[in-house]
Amino acid sequence: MADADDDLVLQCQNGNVAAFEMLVRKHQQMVHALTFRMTGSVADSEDLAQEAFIRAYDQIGSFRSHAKFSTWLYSVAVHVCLNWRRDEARRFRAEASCAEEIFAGHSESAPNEMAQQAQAALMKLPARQRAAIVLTLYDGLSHAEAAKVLHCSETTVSWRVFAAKRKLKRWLTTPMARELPMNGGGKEGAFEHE
Amino acid sequence: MVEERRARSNMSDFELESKLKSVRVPEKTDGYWEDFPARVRSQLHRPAVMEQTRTHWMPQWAWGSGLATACVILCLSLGPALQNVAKDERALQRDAARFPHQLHLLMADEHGMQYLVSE
Repeated sequence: MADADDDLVLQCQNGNVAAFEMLVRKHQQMVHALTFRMTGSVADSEDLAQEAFIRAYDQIGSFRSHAKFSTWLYSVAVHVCLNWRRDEARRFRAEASCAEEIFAGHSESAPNEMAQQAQAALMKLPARQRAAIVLTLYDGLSHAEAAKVLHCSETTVSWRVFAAKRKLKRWLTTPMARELPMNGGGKEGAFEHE
Repeated sequence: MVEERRARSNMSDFELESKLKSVRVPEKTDGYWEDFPARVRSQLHRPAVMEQTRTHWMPQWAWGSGLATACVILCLSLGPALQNVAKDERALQRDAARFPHQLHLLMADEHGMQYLVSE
């Protein structure tokens, strides 16, 4: 077995819950980072991270060891985020508070305007384009790996990354950056698809 | 407008990535990371059991009742037709015995079986 997680996965598949808890411990930070970048909200990212692990446990029987467990877990977590239906009120609340939450743990430094704009721009992207950016840019996956996670072709990932970068450049370039809404709005947005 | 376009085209991928990477994931306390796996574990059995119950008896019940209904409908609709076929077959055997080697044509219509008998 090539993957270091495979032994734990095998134990999970045989009903060992403690083995799954060890997998959670190992991958919890990665999943939290992913769900945070997909939602822009600390509270929602915690809920979604928990939901992702519960979903992974339910589906662990379908995992085959020819894939890396972390890639498979990425896929489960991304789809939990993509399928997450947020109503307008939640969306507005999340986007309005996201910049504040980013710096909640960094009270010693003043909120960085550039990071706020970047997070707001990221939240303005359609969900699938945001997922492509999060996977390739933040998590360093290749387009081929991201395609496996997102269950689409490599070309589709490349297109989504290209389209997302084009929009982000436009939104983050001054003076356009000043027009970025910090509380949602606009046609493109949080969990609308392309 | 021209200035905007120039600014947009001036931003490189590297600059964009630097800006995006300036967004940091909020740090959590050690306590949170310690508690989280146990919190997930406490949630594991509840939905799994519910789903298992649902997936075990619901489809079986649906398929079973559907199959039973289909059988009843099939018996009710085919029963009389099969009886008629058996009746026609008996009549044909009887008439074939009455006219050996003389039955040339037979057909069924609303009046029953019709024969063409040669001399």
